[in-house]
Amino acid sequence: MRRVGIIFRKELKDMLRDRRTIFFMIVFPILIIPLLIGGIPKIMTGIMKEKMTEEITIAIIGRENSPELMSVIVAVDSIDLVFHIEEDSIETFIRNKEIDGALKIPENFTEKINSMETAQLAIIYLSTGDFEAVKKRLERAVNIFIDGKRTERMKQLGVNLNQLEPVQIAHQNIASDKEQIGKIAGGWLPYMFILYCFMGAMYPALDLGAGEKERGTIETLLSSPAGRMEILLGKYGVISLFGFLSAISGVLGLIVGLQFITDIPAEIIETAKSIIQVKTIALILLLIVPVSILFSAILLSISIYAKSFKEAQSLVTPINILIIVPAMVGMIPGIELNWKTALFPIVNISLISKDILAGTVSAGLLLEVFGSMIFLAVIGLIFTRWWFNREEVIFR
Amino acid sequence: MIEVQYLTKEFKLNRKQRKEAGTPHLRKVTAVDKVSFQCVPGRIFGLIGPNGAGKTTILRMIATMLRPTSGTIRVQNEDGVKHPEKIRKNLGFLSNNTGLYHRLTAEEMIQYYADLYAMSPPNYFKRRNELYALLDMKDFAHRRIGNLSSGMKQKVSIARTIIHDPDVVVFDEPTTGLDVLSSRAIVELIMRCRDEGKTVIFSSHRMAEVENLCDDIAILHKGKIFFNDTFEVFKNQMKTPTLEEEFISLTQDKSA
Repeated sequence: MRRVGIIFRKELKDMLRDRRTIFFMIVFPILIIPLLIGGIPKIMTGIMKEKMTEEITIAIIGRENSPELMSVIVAVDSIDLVFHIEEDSIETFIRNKEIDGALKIPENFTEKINSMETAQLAIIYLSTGDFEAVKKRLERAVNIFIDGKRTERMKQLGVNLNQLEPVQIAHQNIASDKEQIGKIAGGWLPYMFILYCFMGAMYPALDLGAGEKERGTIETLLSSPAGRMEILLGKYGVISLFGFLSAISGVLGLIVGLQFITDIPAEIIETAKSIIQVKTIALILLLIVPVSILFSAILLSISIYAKSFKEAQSLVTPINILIIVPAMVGMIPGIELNWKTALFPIVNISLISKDILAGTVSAGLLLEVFGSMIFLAVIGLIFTRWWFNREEVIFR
Repeated sequence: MIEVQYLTKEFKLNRKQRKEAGTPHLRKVTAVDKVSFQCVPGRIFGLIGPNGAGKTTILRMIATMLRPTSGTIRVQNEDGVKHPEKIRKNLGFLSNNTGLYHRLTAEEMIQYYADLYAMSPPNYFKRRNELYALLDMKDFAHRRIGNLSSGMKQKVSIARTIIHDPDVVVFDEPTTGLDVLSSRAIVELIMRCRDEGKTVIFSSHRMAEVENLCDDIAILHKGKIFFNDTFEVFKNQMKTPTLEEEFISLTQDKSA
């Protein structure tokens, strides 16, 4: 067993000298996740804000049909109005980006409004999954007119708003803020650390398995007094460690990223802080341990089978999907941890993380998840040992 | 001392290999077929044969990387199947494609192996200094292997192979693909090992090298040995003027 330590230290030194790997596995997640969490929403709100305030040109068809509505729209900021465009060519003008949209007021508009009927109004715009800013801005303008007319009509009919609303429902969700946030963030957190755990373990696994074959160092190592199990355990240790560290940096990235979100209410920040406790963090870290051991077993088995780094990479890529899909289960609302789901590897990690963050985890299920993950990790280790002892795998 | 008796190694063929070989019914191939020979200390034993003759398989079995299907291998009186780790402790292995860890320094690489061989620190330092002087390695011992020239790397490989001063050294086509200078270093190493009284076995298909180095030879073809004696005996019974021609005519006879 002394040799396990020697091999572990050598492999660790070897991997730590690979600056690129260290950067992508450990530094990168801490940088990129905050950028994703903090940056993208910021950019989105920026664009949205611009779209809602920038100058737009709207064609009006039939302005003579409601001078009252026109007076409201003219008063709205940053909307330029044009009146000369024929109804038939509106679409062309919008597509050519000469105007941003159009408002069509039919001939009988005022007549219908005055006779207590429902009048029609058309907003014509071009939207392909963007913010629909033109539609929203025109609606907002028209609503000023509609609200005024509604109040006018109620007054005329002698009714007030209360009379039109026979029932008002009060919603009381007894879930605490911690539970709600825990369940939402709880889906993301395991997704992040499962993914990073896998990616972090991947490169060392490829390098210490297939890479060793490719460089021809495996033969030398096998001719040394080190036993196969010793070699395996030394490599296993380093791969698991990198998976673990990478998962932690993924989690750290998530926590750092949350600091960048400026427009969240203070009470949510308070709750988030109450979630980030020593006990919660310790439990999550403990969960990562069997995950990283299991990933090491899978990755090292594949890597040691492959003849070259390249072959190993192409074999590992499909495994990525097998990991991502169960890791995403935690983000699907409605799937809960129970004694059955606790047996599914990765799915159970994903689900129990939600419960841990929400503070609703039960000791029994926690034990079951740990039990099943440790069982799998051990099976993985036994398999890899058997696999590594096969001549047709090592000298393929 | 290496004693090999009735050594046989069969490899199972998978479906793809069977198809490629054009023998869909054949489930296994015999890479080494009831081979027996002896290598004695202080002499160089040459395993000679064309590619695919089974040389590497035999040497890997001696180094206990592969398990024999049947037959026995005894190295320094230890049984290769029962006590492989005892054999590996006292054996140095070098092949033309054994590599080095590029991110380690030469010294770290050599020390890694010294640690695996459980050398005591004073023992290691003494041996290391000897080898550094012998191979003129002092100047680059602390540089990363990735930055060394191929000649320097060769020296690191040599030092790695014999750092633990093994009694038995196995060389699998050690000079294949090397330039003249690097080959020379290997040839010198092999001769030095013989002079130190080590048991040396090496495989080759370079006849000049064989003539230059071998005390005893075994000629291997398709997993079988069809000549095993001293090099002198071989030379005296030759029917063609050169070693090369003799070798070709012998293997062709056997193929026919």
